[in-house]
Amino acid sequence: MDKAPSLRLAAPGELRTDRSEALRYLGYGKSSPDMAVLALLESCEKELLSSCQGRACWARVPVSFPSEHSVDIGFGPVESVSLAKHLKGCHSALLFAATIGIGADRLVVRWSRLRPSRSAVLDALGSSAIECWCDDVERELTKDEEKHCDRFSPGYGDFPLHHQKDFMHCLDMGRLLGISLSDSLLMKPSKSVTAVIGLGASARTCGSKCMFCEKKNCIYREVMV
Amino acid sequence: MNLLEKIRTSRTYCDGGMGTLLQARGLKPGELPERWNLARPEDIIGIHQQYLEAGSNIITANTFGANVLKFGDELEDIIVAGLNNVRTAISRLAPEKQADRFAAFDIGPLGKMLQPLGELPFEDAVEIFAKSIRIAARHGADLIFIETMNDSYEAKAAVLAAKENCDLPVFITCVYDAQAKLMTGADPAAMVAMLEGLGVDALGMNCSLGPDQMLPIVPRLAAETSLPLIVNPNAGLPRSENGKTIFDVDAEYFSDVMVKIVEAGACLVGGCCGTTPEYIRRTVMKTSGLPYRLPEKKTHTVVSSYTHAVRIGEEPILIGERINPTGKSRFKQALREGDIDYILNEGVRQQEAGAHILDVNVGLPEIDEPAMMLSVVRELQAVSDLPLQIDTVDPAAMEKAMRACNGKPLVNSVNGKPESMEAVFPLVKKYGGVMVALTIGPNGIPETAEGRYAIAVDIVAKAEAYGIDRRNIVVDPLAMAVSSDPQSANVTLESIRLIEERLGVHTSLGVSNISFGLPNRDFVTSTFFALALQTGLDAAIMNPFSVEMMKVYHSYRALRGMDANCTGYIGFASGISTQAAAGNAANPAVAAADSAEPLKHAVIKGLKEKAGALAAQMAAEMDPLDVVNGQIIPALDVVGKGFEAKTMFLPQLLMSAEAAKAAFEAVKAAMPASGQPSKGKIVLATVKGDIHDIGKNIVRTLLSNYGYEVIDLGKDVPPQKIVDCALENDVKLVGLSALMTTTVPAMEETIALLRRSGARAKVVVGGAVLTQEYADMIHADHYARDAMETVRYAEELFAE
Repeated sequence: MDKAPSLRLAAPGELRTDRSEALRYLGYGKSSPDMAVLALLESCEKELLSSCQGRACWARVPVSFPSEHSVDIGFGPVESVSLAKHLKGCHSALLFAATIGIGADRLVVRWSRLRPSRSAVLDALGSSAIECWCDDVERELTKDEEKHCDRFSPGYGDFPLHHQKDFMHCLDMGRLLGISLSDSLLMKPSKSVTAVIGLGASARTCGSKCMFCEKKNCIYREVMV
Repeated sequence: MNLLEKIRTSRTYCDGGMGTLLQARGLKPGELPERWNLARPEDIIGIHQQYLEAGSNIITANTFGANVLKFGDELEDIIVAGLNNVRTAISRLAPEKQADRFAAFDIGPLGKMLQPLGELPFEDAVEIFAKSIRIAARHGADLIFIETMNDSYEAKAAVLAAKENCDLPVFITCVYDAQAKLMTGADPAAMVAMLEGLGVDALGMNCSLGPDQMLPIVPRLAAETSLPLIVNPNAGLPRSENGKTIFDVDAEYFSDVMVKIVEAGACLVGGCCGTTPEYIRRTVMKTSGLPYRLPEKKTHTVVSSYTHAVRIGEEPILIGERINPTGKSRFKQALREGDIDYILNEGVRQQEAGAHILDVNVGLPEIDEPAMMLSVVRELQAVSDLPLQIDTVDPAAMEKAMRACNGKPLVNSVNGKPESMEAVFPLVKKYGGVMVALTIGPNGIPETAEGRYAIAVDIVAKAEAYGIDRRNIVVDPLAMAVSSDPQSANVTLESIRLIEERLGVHTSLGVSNISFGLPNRDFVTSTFFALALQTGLDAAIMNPFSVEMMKVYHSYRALRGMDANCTGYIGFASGISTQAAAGNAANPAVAAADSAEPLKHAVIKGLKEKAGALAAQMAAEMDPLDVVNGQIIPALDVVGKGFEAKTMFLPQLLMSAEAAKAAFEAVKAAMPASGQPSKGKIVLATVKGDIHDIGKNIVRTLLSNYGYEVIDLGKDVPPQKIVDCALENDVKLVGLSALMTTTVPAMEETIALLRRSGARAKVVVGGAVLTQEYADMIHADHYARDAMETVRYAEELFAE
C-alpha cells in the first residue's frame, strides 16, 4: 500500500443510534423496556449524540493469499484461517477505521460514579452509534462495488488483535481519527472500529456479524430469524 | 536575531508536510519515519533544504514521534540525528541566507491516551516528554515545537516537561476540528488560557483542517491570545481518486487562503499534512509584503477547564462553595472515609444548579490534605467540566492541585502577608492561574475600605513586579459578620467600589460570611449579594442550592440587561414553580397510588428522589435499621430476582440500586455514625493490564447496597496490591474482574499470589470473557456470571 488514506467527517446530525441494538447489549433479548427505561434511553441518546464526533478513514489495498492459512491485505501476511476464508475470492479490500470520538468515553466515565444506570445505557448506545456510523460509511464506500464482504475486524475468529498496530500505521489513525492504542491493543476512543471489507465479484456476506463468532453461547448473540 | 525577537518583529515561516514527501521517497507503511534520520539522512536533509529554499525560517526536525515509548534506547541517536540533519541543511545555504533560520525539536502526541479516559498517568506523560526534551536541549535545538496536540491534558504535560527541562522557547500548536474543538473538547479560549498560563512563547493550530476550515478559527484564537499566533493547515482533506491520493487544496489556492489567514491575525504560518515546499514558497511570496502585527495585549481575566473558559468581569460568576467541610458533618465524614463519590456528587449537583466554577476545599486536620486534594481534583475533572477554584492554605496541596488541573484554575488564596505571597506567586507563575487576593495585611484585616484597598494595591504591585499580570488577580475584600459589626457590609461594599474603580482589578467575595450568627441567613446573604453585584462585584463564592441566592442572580441578570428576552430568568423561575407544585402533590400521591409499602415500591421502580425522601421520613418515625431491613433490602431482592429471571434488566437493576443508595443516604443521616451496619469488607479490582471497569463498578454498587463495605482498588491493579489490601483488611472475599482474554493470566497470577500469601479470602471472578471452565482453570472459588450472582455468593459466604 503506498497511498495515504481518505478521510470523512460526519456532518452535524449525521450520527445516529440504534435503540434495539442498544437494548440487546443491555441484555434485553426480545423483551421490551418499560417507560422509565425508555425515558432514560431517550435522554441518554440526546446527551450522547450532542457530544460525539464521527470520523472515518479508509484505504484500498490489493488482496493476495501467500498460503492457505494466510492473507496479505497490504501490510504483509496475516496468519489467520478465518480471515483468509472470509476474503476468499476477493481481489482487493478496504482497510477501514471509524470512531465516534472521546465524548462517549467521557460520558460513560462521568456517570459511572454518579448514575451507573446512565453509564450503562450510554455505553450501550455508544456501541450502537459506532456500529451505525460504520454501516453508513460502509454503504457509501461500497455502493459502486460489484460485491463486497461484511466488515471483519482484528479479534474476530483467529485474526490476531496485534494487527491493530498495522491498521494504526496504514490508516494514520492517530492523526486522522485521534485514535490511540493501549498496551493491550485496545483503542481509545473506545467506541472505535477497525475492519477489512473484502471486494470482488465472488465476495460473500453472511448477514450477521455474530455468525463469524465462535462463541456460540454468548448472551449477546444476535438471534437470527 | 534571536527567535523570540524575530517573532515579535516580523513574520516567521514554518515548514510544511514531511510524511507524504517521505512516502514518495519510498517510506513503507508501518515504517517509522524517524528512523530515516539515521538510515537515509540525505533524503531528510534534502527535504529540509527545499523548505529552506522556499522561505521557511523554522525547520522542524523529523522527530514527531521521537519518544521513549517508540524508540527506547535508540531515542538519543534518533533525536541527535534529526537535529543534525536540520543543522546540515541550514549550513548548506549560502552564508547570507543562513540568518533567521532555526532548528526546532518537533514533538507530537505520545500515542497513548491519558487518564482518566485512557491509561497513561499524567506524571508519566510529563516524564516521557521530558526525556526527549532533555536530549534535544543538550544537542542544540533552538526551540521546542510541540505540535498536533488533540488533548489539552497531554498538551499541558508536554509544556510542563519543556518548561521544567530547558530554557528554550516553547511553541505549541493543537488540532481543532471543524467545530473549533480539540478531540477531548477544549475550545480556543480554554486552550489559550491554559497555555498562556503555562508560559509558552507562541501558540496556535495545525493539522486536521485545510486552510478554509481554519480561517474562521483564527480570529477566535486572536481574540484570546496576546502571543504570536501560529497557523499550519493541511492541504485540505486527503481522498483517493483513481487510486491516487489527492489533497483537495493545491498550492495556489492554499497560499491564497493563507493571505486571508495572515490578515485575520496569524503571525507564524506554514503547512502540515499534504503541503510541500511549493505550498510554502507561494505562501511566503504572497504574504511577506503584508504588514506584520502581533495580537494586541489582552486584559480580560479568564480561567478554564478542559472544555471551556470562564471570563471574570463581564457577567456575574457563581463559584459553588459546597465542596468544603466547614460546618458540614456529612462532608467531614466523607473526607475521613475517603468517600470520593459523595464529594463528586456535590460537584455535579452544583453544576446542575448553575455554578460556573467549583471551589475545592478538602482541608481537615486529620487527613493528608495534599493527597486528598490531588485525588479530588483528578476525580472531579472526570465528572465535571467546570473550571476549579483551588481552595487551600497548604502550599503543597495547592501545587499538587494546580499541576493536576486540566485547565487554568482560580487559586484561593493569597494575601498581603509576605510569606503568603512568597508561597503562592511562584506557583501561579509556573502553572498559570488567577489568584484570589484577600485584603489581609501583616496586621490583619483593616477596618476601613481605604485600608483594604491599600493592601490590594500592594499585592497587585508585588505580583506585577514578580511577573504576574494584574489580570490574573481578583481581589476578595472580605465580608465580615454584620451581626458583630453593623458597618461591615458598608466597608466591604466600599472596598469593592475602590478596587474596581481605582485599581481596575476584578473582585470576588465569599458572600455567606456576612450573615453569620443570624437566623434565616439566606435572607441577609442574598440581599447583600444583590448590593455587592450592583456595586461591581464580579464573582461570588456561594451556595448554588440556595433558592434565595439564585433568585438574586437571575433577577439581577434580567434587570441589568444581561439576559436576552429574560430566557435565563424564565427557565429558572418556571422551574421553581414546578418544583413547588410537585412537592405539594408528592406525598399523598405516593401513599394513595403506589402501595402499602411506598419506599419498597420506589426502590423497585428506581425512583431516586422519591426513595430518598420517603426513607428520610420513615427513618424519623421508626428504627432506621428496620427501614433498611424491612423496606430497602426486600426491594433490592425483588429486583435481583427479577433480573435473574430475566423479567428485569440491567438498567432497571441499576436504577433501583441508585434509588436504594439515595434511601441509604437518608437513613444514614438519621443514624448515629457508630450504628451503621456493615456486613463485612470485600476487596474489588479489575486486574493488571485491564482498564475496563464498568462491570466491576456495577458489582460495587450492588454490594454496597447490600451493606458490604467495598474497598474498590480500581482498574489495572497489580496482583501484589490486591494481596496486600486483602491481608491488611483481613477480608473474607476478593472480587476480580477481567474483560479480555489477554488479562485472564493476570487474574490467575493474582489468585496464586493470594493463596501463597496465606490470606483467608475466597475469590469470586467475573467479566465478559470468563466462563465456569476458565474460572476453574485459574482456581477461583466462584464464577459469577453477573453482578447479582456476586451478591448471592457474598450473602452465602458471609452468612457462614
